[in-house]
Amino acid sequence: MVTPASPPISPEILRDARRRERRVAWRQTRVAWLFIAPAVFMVFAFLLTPVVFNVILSFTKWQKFTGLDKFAGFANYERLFRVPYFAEALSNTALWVIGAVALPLAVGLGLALLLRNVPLQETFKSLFFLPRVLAPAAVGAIWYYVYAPHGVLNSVVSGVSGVPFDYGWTYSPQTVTPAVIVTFVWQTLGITMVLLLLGLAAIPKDPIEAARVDGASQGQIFRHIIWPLLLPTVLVVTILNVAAGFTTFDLLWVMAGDYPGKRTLSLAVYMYYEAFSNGAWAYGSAVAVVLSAMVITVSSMLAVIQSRVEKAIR
Amino acid sequence: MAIDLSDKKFIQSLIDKERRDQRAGGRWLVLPIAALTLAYLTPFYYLIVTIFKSSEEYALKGVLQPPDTLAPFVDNVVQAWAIANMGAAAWNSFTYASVGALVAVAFAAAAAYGMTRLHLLGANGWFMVIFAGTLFPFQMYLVPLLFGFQRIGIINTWFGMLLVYVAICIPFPLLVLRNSFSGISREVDEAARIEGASEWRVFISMIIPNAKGPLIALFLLQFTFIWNDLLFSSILANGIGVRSIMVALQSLQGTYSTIGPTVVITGTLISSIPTVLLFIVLRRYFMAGLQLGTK
Amino acid sequence: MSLLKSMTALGLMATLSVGSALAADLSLYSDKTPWNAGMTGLAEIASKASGATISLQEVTPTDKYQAFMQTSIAGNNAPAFFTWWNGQQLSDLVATGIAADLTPYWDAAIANGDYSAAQRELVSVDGKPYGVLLNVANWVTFYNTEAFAKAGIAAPPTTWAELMDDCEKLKAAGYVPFNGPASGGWMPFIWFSQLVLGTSPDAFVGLTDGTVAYDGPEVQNAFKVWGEMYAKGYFTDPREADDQLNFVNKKAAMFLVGDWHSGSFAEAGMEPGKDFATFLMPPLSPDVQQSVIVEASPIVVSKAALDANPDLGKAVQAMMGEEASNTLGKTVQVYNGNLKAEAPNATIAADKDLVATLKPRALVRWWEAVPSQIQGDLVAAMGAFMFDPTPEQAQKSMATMQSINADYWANK
Repeated sequence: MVTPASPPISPEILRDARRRERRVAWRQTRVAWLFIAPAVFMVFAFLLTPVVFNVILSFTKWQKFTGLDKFAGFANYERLFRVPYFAEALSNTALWVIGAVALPLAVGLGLALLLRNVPLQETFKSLFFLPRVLAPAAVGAIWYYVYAPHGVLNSVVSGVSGVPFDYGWTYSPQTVTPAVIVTFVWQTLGITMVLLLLGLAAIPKDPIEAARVDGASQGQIFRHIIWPLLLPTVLVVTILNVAAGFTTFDLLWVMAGDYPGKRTLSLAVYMYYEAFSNGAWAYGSAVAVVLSAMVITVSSMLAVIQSRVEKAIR
Repeated sequence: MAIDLSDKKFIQSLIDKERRDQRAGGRWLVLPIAALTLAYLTPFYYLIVTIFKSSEEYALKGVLQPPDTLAPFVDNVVQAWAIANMGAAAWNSFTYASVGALVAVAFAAAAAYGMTRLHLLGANGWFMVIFAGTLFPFQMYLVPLLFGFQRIGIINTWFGMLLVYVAICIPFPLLVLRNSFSGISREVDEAARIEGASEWRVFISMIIPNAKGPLIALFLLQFTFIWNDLLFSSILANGIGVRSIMVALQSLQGTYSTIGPTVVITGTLISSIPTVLLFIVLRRYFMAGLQLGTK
Repeated sequence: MSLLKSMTALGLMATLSVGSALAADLSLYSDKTPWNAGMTGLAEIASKASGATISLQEVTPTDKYQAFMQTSIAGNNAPAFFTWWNGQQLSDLVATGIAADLTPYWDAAIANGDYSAAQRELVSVDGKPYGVLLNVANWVTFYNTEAFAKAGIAAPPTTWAELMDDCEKLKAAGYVPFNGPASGGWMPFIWFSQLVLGTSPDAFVGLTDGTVAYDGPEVQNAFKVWGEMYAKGYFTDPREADDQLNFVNKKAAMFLVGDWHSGSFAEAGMEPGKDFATFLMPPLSPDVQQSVIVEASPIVVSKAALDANPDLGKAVQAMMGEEASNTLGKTVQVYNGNLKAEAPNATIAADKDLVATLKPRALVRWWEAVPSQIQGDLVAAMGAFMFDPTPEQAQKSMATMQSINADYWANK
């Protein structure tokens, strides 16, 4: 398109135009502030300020009623290493996180692969997803009775073996964490599987076809084609479950009931126990800080890996 | 034998055969998967079987055995309702979840609009500030919020609880809406602005209708989250008049209760009905909401 | 409505609700859910006497309640009236300065014959009373009269040897001797402290003031006896969540618990005095003094509230009166110690007589005497033993408890 020659623009007109632009931009910015103000205010007041306060709190001596105004230096953090409970909570958390990440992934992947070409896929997907909609507190309540000494699991075992069986799954240190992991898997399997199915669906069919024509086995196809292309989705699922594993509280608290070792089942529960049951507010805050540091570190590392993998694939 | 690739019918028959093989390959899996699903859903079977039993019946029979009659159900519901004050708690949770999710998504939408459609200095910076709210596990907020609420005097109030829920439910919708608003073409609001519409009008009339899908999905997700929350409500709004339904459910399981599993399980059912119903009716939006989470 | 207008409206709403919440909180806070009816009655009496509106606010369970109180007090926001515990728990509270000194009210009540000087001691710190009594209970052993009759036990045991003998008789008659739940996260300390008390009352006191070790000879003995009782099958399954089920359904014959529990037994259909009666658990050997554990729960008054509203003093007076005691007794069968009031039921009356006759040494319950910072962790170690009553676990629990205990006293 050919434009007719325009008359030369005088500097005054240019300056006026620019001024008008800036005024419009400035007006827009002021309006933009109004738009973002509610969100920023809420997050700042109720999320960010508490974080700062929490960190400050961990350096005070606040326990039970007093000590909020006394500075304690790193005493609370030192106590973390002195008390055997923290180490216990740490090792349990490690076990719990690994279980909470690996198991749903393994089972979910298996299920996703099975469900890939099955009719009635939507129905199965929804049924597996149903537990996810329930509250962790509700799931914990139901599974509390599944694991109870005279509960569902023991009934099944008694029925199958013929011998009355009343083992306390959630009362013994060896079985309590695996038991809760199973419940966690039960609840998150749905979402893990759905996400993996989405990821599988996104994998182009041609390479798989080509490989099959070339005579590759199912296992080889999976290892060399599906798995690498699925990796970004797997990593997303891992990030989600890692965060959930570190911070799950409701499920553990409700399921473990009166089990004395409940408080060291995970760092999240330990923090709650020390702050709200023992009244060791400052110490509990220190645990929260350590927990947050761990979660943020691990999640960030995983996120970085995930974006690199995604880039590599493209 | 030479294969004539130009024969469309032949190619089609090859494709059909391939498809049939695939589906046939999948068809035999239905039965084992159905069995797996049934085993997976055993806890639900336990739930259904238990709510129809009375306490005595439960103690006498095996836990997985079907109930005698459906009659005890009413009694269980009445008990769960009365002991844990579920009516009030359900209403509390409903108001927390509906108002909270609505306001949070509204605030997030407004913020997303401000960040993407308007000329905002340091938009990315503001976004990081809000997104930082998601970085920390909830444990970081508990003690300061409890203490702060005590100081201000909004502990154990409906309004105080609502404020926290709104704050928590802003960052994720903001993340999603920011992406989704960026995708709407600029001509829409430019046209409206030239007509002389204020930014507010543009926001309400132009952008919102174009993002209905994500907005509804986000509302549902946050509604479910707030409804299911136990941690925050048990600490910040534990009072009888303001407690959420999950706290009420937990009180059914508490120390001084001498009621059996039948009533507790019935309470679990009552507290789960709304979210399950929402899921069944609006399944599509839930699933869509998931995909938003992975981007 | 424009954006600006809606934001202003929201802000206004916020300020208004905050403002209304800041209004004076003259409430009675309690964590004792089963006693709600009685507490409400108490609040009404207090309101009538003082002219102010005092309402009952309930916060449960106990650890939530404690968390609420701790943050309120740290934030200078203590309620006007609230239930608490005596012993070390009360000392810690008084140290914060928020509790009102109730000496004038106690003097008046003692002069009036409502209470005795000994009872005043139960809620005193350094000689000054800081609470009004809500519940005074002896910790006794309840027994099922029918079970004892069937087992051929003529009278409750007066020595430990007799008690062990009776356990065997009860087992032969098909009963589990003791109901021993570990529910609620607090019950494990009951048998631990009773057995240490039965070994040596002085050691019992020493446990909570740092002078006696949790793995010392007295505690070792207690765990030994405890383990033997488990081995002989004298206890019910500790995993039972309902703490009175096995006693009420007559599976277990005896239950060691505070006599305030008689109210809930009565509610479950057992008749005090007829279906069940009580005896004091004898010491482990005859040359040890007979003692009884006394639990005294106070209601604490906030000094700030009392100073700001002198009328509240009338409420305090009313709570120490006969009417208040009778209200508690009639509604929830809780006895608050008022000498003029009738005992709520036959059991509590019998216990009063028992204590008056035997004159045992009265000791503060372990739960109140132990420093609150280590209370939960110690109980958890005891609970671990209850779920695994083996000698190995006993040693582990004792070692854990002593390390916590030593650490606390060393770093005070």
